[in-house]
Amino acid sequence: MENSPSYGFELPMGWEVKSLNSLFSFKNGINADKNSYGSGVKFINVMEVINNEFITPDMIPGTVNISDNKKKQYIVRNGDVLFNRTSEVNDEIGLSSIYYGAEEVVFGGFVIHGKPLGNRINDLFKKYCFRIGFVRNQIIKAGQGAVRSNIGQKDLQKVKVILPPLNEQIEIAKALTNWDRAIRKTSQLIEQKKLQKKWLMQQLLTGKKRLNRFSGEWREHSLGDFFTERKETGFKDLELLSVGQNGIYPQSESDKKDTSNSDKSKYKKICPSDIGYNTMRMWQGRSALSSSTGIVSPAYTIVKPKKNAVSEYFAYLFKTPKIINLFWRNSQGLVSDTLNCKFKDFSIVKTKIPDKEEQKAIVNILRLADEELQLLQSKLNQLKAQKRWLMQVLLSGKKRLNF
Amino acid sequence: MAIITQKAINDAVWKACDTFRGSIDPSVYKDYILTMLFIKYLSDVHDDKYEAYLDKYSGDVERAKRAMLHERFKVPENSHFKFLYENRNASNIGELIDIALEDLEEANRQKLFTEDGVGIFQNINFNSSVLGETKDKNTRLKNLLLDFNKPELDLRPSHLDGTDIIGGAYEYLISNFASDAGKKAGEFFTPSEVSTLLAKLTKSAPGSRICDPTCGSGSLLIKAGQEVGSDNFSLYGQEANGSTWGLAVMNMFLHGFDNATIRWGDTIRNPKLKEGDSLMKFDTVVANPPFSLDKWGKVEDKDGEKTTVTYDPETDPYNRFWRGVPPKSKGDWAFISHMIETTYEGKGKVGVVVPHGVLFRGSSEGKIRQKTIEENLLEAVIGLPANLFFGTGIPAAILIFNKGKETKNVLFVNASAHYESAKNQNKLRKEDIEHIVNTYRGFNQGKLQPGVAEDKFSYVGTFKEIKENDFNLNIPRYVDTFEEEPEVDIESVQAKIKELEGELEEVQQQMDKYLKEIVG
Repeated sequence: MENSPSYGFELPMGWEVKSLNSLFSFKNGINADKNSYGSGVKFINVMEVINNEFITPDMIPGTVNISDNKKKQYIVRNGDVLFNRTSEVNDEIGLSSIYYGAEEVVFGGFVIHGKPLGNRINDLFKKYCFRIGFVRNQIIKAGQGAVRSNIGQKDLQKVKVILPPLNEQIEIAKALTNWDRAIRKTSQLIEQKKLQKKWLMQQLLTGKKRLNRFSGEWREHSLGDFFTERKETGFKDLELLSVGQNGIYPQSESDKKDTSNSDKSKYKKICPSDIGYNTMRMWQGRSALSSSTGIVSPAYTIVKPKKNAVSEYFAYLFKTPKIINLFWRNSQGLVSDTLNCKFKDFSIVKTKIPDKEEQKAIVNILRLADEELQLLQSKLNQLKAQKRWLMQVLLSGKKRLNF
Repeated sequence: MAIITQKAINDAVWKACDTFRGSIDPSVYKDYILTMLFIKYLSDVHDDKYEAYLDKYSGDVERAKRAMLHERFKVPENSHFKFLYENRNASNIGELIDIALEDLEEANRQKLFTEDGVGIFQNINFNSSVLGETKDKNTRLKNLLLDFNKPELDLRPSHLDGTDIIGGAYEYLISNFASDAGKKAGEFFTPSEVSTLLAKLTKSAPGSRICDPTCGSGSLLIKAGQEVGSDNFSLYGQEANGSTWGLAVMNMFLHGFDNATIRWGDTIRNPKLKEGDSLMKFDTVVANPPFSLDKWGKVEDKDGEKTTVTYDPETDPYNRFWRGVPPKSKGDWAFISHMIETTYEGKGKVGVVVPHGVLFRGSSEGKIRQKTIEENLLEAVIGLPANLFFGTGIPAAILIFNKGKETKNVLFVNASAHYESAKNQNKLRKEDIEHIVNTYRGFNQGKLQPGVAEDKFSYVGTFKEIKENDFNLNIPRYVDTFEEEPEVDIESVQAKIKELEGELEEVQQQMDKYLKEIVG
């Protein structure tokens, strides 16, 4: 009767819908005295539960000093499930995390511990079965609270999960584990590729390594040799652009709130190939290359490349620590909040720059590195989408594996 | 006879402040406490000497009294602390103390009066309603006398452990008032480590005339004198605030600098240290002038329609601002100009504490700065750590000007990272001071070549470089503190990429199998 269509879908033979209270006994965690933290036994805090699908002992930073007797009451064992009892936003309430480890650890006050009754769920399968839409919807609905969200044991106990037979659980977990691995490996690959790009920047933007066909010595120049300031205002009808960490894009596409002045007459025009930088934050490297025409806040300084400059080269250069430090040294102000790098200060910054052809060649390489990173990032996103789909179909029995 | 330590005295004096704390602002009550400390000291010294004479003349009171007439200070009977203490319950005790001070001034006219006939106690009134209504006032004064009568505060030199214990207590109290009263009181106090640094940087030779044109309570001047290493020097100071000026005069006596000349008046509008009609010249001029003082210059006296300008820096009678008149709202370069103009040509030295804005601000300030550099007066720019001063977190710098400079180079020091952080305030340690002073001496003796002198700490800039920087003295432009980031270990990165790509391929084959099976 638990397979009734009222769940919105039909379960295969042998699959069951079970409420959590039939699978686990629940308990809230330790609320120890303030002074007991910082030494003693490892204890799982709410953030570890929210941030991870599973927890191993090395992922637990917190410790607490408690008596052996108390430790026994709050012990977490391999394969136990932990749910967060509280969260900042409703969507993150009651997330599950599985403990994998031989070490004896305990759990904190904002965590609900689920100790398995019997052996109905495979340990690897647990990683997935509480995180599918069917289960999450029930938990999120049970969450309460205006500012933060909370869920109690009583509400959690009523939540229902879908369980295939044990042997099928193992096969599904095995399949999904492949996607987890692929996602992890791709993330690691992206990190390594970022290091690779950083190395390329360290080498190519300083002249430490040169491309074969270039040999002339780099000369020291002032940035004023390559840029003039664009101070054009009064273009109220141009599109409002936002200068962000990763480029310049229309304000309408920004996730930041539009705090711009309603009077745009003082806003500065920016054109493709211009570089815009935050006059008061250039010492922190806040600059970006524009690919479109529009207007930006007067808080920015707009620099326009002269004929001898490939502005993309400079956009890369302005992200290197050495040149950011030079911007800092050439900014003026009493405290960091008032440090200003006006065009005059910008233009006297001195550094070694190759000629235009070599700038172009270097840009081509760095641009390739960026494109590769973007491709890998989008592959990562696709793998995640694939995994979501697989969970939807495999954990509901809509699709089944041959085994 | 018990020997009294510095700490015991400090504690006792600090306790005496409890009488006022909470009801009267420390910037006000400090004057009462310090004046009482002065009376107590003079009285105890008097008693100590008198007893010694009695001993010497086998109890002959007349001879002992006669001998007392030749002492440093004369203490009339009714000015003696004991007299005041005995009268502590008198209903007119405030008035009695005021009379005691007046008589003390009168008996020591030479020491305690200015040449224009103003006594140092003119700004202190123990009978003032500042101390509360009659009843409250009398209670307070009685408590004050009781506190100072404690055996811990027996200031007779024969009881004291060390020669400068009074000066020390005075300094302790002033620095504590400064931190207690916050910004207000901080104005009259330069942290002792900064004074020490400035005194060492400008170390005066024996025979020098040393001046602090904004001397506050005089601690910097005292340090500058002590740095000479002999008694052969003369101290000069001027202070605009009347009661702070009184403190400075007392401070000089307490430290044994009886010949110091401390004048009361506004240094810019009314310089008092003069010889004939000209400003007096000095070997060493040191100061910690108020940071970026607003309305330092022009004085207009409005009477209905008629406006009389009583002072205008544009027409300064001493022509101190010939390099340019600083902006009305920022007096920094006015004080610096005054200091430069009052040092001896060809040899004088100036050491001044300034806010960083002085190093880079443009317009009239930029022009004055440029001129002093072109004249080859500027010798060193030293950036200090933030949070050294009471009541302000902004970082300060020290400028050294030298009228006997031998090269056209300028030393830049970035000492901003060299300090010990204390609870509310950072502190220069002995080694930090030595580090700066040794660097400066090395430069001054011509031992440092242009370029980096010490990595991330000091740099010798040439005139050409400074000119290229548009006479901007911002320290980071010269002293590079950049830490190169470690180079990426590309071999290990390449190896990891290869490994990951292999693993990905394997897992993807596995995934493809599953997908074929599921998607079909």
